[in-house]
Amino acid sequence: MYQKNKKFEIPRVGLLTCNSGASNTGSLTGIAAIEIIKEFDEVGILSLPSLANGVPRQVAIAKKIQHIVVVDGCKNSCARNVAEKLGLKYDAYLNIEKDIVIKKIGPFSTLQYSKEEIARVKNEIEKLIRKMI
Amino acid sequence: MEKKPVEEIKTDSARNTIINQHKKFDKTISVNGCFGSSNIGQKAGFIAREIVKQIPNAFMRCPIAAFPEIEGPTQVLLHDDYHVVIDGCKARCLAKSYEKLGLKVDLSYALDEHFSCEKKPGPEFDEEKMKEIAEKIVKDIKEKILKGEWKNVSEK
Repeated sequence: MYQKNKKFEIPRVGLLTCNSGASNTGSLTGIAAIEIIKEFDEVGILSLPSLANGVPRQVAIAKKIQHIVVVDGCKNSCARNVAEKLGLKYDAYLNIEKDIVIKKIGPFSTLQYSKEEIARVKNEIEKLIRKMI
Repeated sequence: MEKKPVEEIKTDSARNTIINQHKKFDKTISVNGCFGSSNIGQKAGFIAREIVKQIPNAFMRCPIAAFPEIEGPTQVLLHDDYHVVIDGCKARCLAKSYEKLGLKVDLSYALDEHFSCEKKPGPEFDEEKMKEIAEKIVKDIKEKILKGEWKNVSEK
């Protein structure tokens, strides 16, 4: 379980999610990731903006992580693209629009998702990380 | 990526978003939080969510799409009239993303510098404090960007 006030340690599994607030599916990737790391102590969230900007410390941390799971909200696959551009190897990829068919709604759907959808995304991520820990 | 005239944007959904939102609101504001890995990174993202609930012509966008150069979401962001960026920490990764795109950020915050938030590992943050900061930024947007015009803005 996630422990409050624990010291920073490189997690065994890193989640790289698009977490875009521009759409329901982007938001779902981030909300589900938070649910996951509250439950799994060995999982952490990677900072996509810092990796997209090539911040050396964050890139170095990402490269030390044993397993990486990339989660995108839509077919644009921004998180996967950032990972590939950096040469980050990832063990699993989930695209929630394509793989579990949650429709992306636009143009303003930041907050339009249900508890059931959060649970679906969380379950899919959980299945992937259970193979790694 | 350069800003293109709307008619040259290939992605239908992006073109329609730009046309419809500008038709409805005239001016649009992008508001994004970094959603980084720490408590304050996550808090920054949730602050942006609170702000777009309150300001009808403020929208969260997809700034990271600019790095794989995905046209649709990047052009939507480039067509916004004002930009508000909330970073968790002084590294200001999100503000740097806007700079790389050549965008002028109208209001830029780093939660550790501006609101003395302490950076810690993990996603937990004080929700009350998050809402309090969101209120302060909403006030800034109304005063410094909307300048008294916010009461005339249509509902989302």
